[in-house]
Amino acid sequence: MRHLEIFGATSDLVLLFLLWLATKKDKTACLLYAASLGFLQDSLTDLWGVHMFSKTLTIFILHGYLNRIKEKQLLFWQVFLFILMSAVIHNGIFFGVTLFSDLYTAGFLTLSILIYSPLYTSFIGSFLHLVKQD
Amino acid sequence: MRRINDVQDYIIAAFLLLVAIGLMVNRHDGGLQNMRKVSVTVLSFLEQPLSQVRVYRQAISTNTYLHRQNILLQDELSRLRSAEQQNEILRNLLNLREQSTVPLIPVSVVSKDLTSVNSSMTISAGSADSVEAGMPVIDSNGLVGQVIITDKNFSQVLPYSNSMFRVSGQVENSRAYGIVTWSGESNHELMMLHVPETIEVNPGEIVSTSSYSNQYPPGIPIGEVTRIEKGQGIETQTIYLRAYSNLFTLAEAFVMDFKPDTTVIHLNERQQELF
Repeated sequence: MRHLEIFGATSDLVLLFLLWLATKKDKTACLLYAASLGFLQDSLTDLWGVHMFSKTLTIFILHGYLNRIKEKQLLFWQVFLFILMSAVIHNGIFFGVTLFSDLYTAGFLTLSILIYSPLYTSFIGSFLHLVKQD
Repeated sequence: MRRINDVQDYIIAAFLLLVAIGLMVNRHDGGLQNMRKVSVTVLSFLEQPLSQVRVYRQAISTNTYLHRQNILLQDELSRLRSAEQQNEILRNLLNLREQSTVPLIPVSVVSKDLTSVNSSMTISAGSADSVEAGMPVIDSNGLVGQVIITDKNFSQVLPYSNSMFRVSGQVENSRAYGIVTWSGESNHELMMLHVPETIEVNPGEIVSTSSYSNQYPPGIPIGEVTRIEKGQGIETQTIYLRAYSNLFTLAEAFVMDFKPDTTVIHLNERQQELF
């Protein structure tokens, strides 16, 4: 995923998959998926525990809301805003954990993590929502 | 029933979050180190084809650079030859030992991640090539980083643009000593700490590894002084450096086959036992 970087921003395809999964599966399964995929992402990026923590917590927070809106037909901009909000929550947790744990230096990537990457993820997610077939 | 499911979800989420925190806290422990080795190996195999593209792109720009350097080096070589003869005579006169040269292991960069919160690089040499954790990594411009994990055919390098990186440095003219670390502001900017305010340091001076460190051989160029900031309320100054080695364009490097002097390590251990 980091080879698809644009101006320092990367899109989180794992998060998009988990958001989609949250509309299909129950909370317990989604939490286990989030933790497993987060762990896999951690192992590939050498950030042990950070993705796992942020993805599990994001799905825990958003699963209920996703289930309430899944029956509604959302417009493109509504999908974009929802994914943006989810990505901001996820990246906010990610940023907080890296700062709090003091293991990594996220300070110089603040804008990239909190603004550019969520926007990029939202664009990709909205596009995938447009082309997807139910 | 729904209430029971909710409680179950809370317990599972809490458990998974605790596992994640456990991973963060114990990332340097033995068991996890083996998993990190496996992930480095898997990632290296996946990234290796992509590195060839990077090497080709780099080769074109390196070619132009080398043409220019070749002309300059030819000129320098002729001057060095005469200097070498003079140096030999002076060494004999002073009865100095021949300076030992550290063997170099050539490596290519298989993958690098310099824009994330935990920058790292993977190189194409491992324990099978006598690479060991702790060995310095350099290129033709200067210090690149230090090997932290080795597997059979690959190793992971902690580059200077990582908050965990530390090296003992020395300013060329004033011979002031300090600890060089990453500033965290730009990928090329380092900072040198613990240099007393009374020592005058000027922009443009060269900082290289010092002889105080047992981790790096002395004299490896690190960077050039760009600015100096006086510490407020402390008696030391912060010296900012521009690193010589460019990590973004780095495609090939050398691992220095340098091992810390065990005598120094034993002396440190004995001192710690005393106090």
